[in-house]
Amino acid sequence: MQREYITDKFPNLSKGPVDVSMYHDPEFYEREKEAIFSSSWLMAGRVEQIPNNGDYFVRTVPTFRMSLIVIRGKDNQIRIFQNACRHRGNAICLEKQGNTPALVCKFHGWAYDLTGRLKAIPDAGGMFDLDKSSLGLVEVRSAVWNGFIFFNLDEDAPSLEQYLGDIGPALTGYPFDTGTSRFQIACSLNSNWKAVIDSFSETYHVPTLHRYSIAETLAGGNNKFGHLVDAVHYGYHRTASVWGNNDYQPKPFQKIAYEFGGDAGASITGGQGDTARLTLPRGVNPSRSSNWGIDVNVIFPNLVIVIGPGSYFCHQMWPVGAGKTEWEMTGFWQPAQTAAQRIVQEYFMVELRDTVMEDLNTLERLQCNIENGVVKEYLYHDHEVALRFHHHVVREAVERFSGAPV
Amino acid sequence: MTTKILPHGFEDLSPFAARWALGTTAERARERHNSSMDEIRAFYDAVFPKSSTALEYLNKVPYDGAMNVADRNLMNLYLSLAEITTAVEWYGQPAVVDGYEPSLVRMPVELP
Repeated sequence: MQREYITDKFPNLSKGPVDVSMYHDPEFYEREKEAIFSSSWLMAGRVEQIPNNGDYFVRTVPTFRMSLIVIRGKDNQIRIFQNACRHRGNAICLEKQGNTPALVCKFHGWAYDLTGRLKAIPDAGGMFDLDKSSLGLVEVRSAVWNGFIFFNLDEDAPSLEQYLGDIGPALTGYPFDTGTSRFQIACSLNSNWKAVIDSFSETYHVPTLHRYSIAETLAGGNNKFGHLVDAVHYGYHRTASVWGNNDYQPKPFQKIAYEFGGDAGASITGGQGDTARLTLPRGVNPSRSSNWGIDVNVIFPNLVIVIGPGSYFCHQMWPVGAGKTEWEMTGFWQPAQTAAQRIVQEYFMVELRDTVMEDLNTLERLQCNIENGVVKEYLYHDHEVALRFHHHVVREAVERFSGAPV
Repeated sequence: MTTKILPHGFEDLSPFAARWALGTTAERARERHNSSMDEIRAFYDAVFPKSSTALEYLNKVPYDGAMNVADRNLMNLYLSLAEITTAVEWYGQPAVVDGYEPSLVRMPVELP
């Protein structure tokens, strides 16, 4: 029988080797920064982080060495400002998060209201010809989708809704808002940002790389190679729908964790979470597979939302060079109601963290062997189609911006 | 090490509570990576058999600021079991096999 390739769903993708230069060329990185990161919608955080008027958090954007204040005003509107006083550029908010009635610089005391207007300058008579009305905090475009707060450094970019296109409505309805218990893990990786995304986007590695951890939950039975159940592309955004092993036999403590987790304990590692009770939007488990494990959604360029039946987590990759990336992973769970549920959450956090440590460990070696010129092309498997697509859309975005082939 | 009291019925675990009833993920992870596999396995072998009983007990304890000291110690002890279980059940060594260097990974936000 002729094998059916999932790559055949996407006739614009080649099946040949892929050139690796865009994963290490500093010049290409500068073009990506200009063509992609300067005008894309990038995710700052979640609305649940700032439920009350005056609540704020600071989002650092390592790619541009920027610090942004994300704040809910007295009018309940969420706004994003550059964390920079108009006087001499000191950061206004020094804490990572908090609640404040006004934004006051702790250098010379310039004070702004929560809409960014400059309200007070100490000893204002000593300043020369200032027009206070033109000296508000620099506001950055922001918009909210399903509780995710995005920003865009380009005033002229299309709206967030247009930018997301079909993946926006496809994922709308998943209960993102219930995941108010967060944890975050981060590190600085000597790896290209795209390679970090790629490492979480394919399942071909699951049986081998994750042989001690999650191989049997995302591969096994009649799918020993962990073939995807589906792949869907929405413009530059994409979903890889990952198989889950319904016949997985839990390890000793997992069994106990599944028993006591309740709604607060839903893992990516063992089909926990009451899928039947959830009405999933059409973009989640898009093929309505009875063997659905998780979906890996990539919102171009650098937000990965991994959705499981009862919890989700995000990766964000912030490039700081062709071969350097600041990586953050944030998990979202429903709050633990009992002490036992809190323990289950910790266990699933550890499972996820340890599994990701397996992924991370490949990246710096990969980067090394393309930077030293030993490896010049990647040979992608059918179930690494997400990587082929990634290469394709990044090239297209850079070409579209520069108006010439790259 | 100071004694950490445990609820009635769990007193036999107190030799392990002094070392492993730790209040933050960072402390628990540090203890895992500073321990030998023999020490981790001894902790697992002592504490794991009572997991069902302990979680059943702790499932009746609301997770809030009103938890008493003994209940909190028991929870923290089992949070450490949650930390080291993958060392025993997955890897057979304290660190992730072929894993990224744990000291290079930060945890800016711990679970509440």
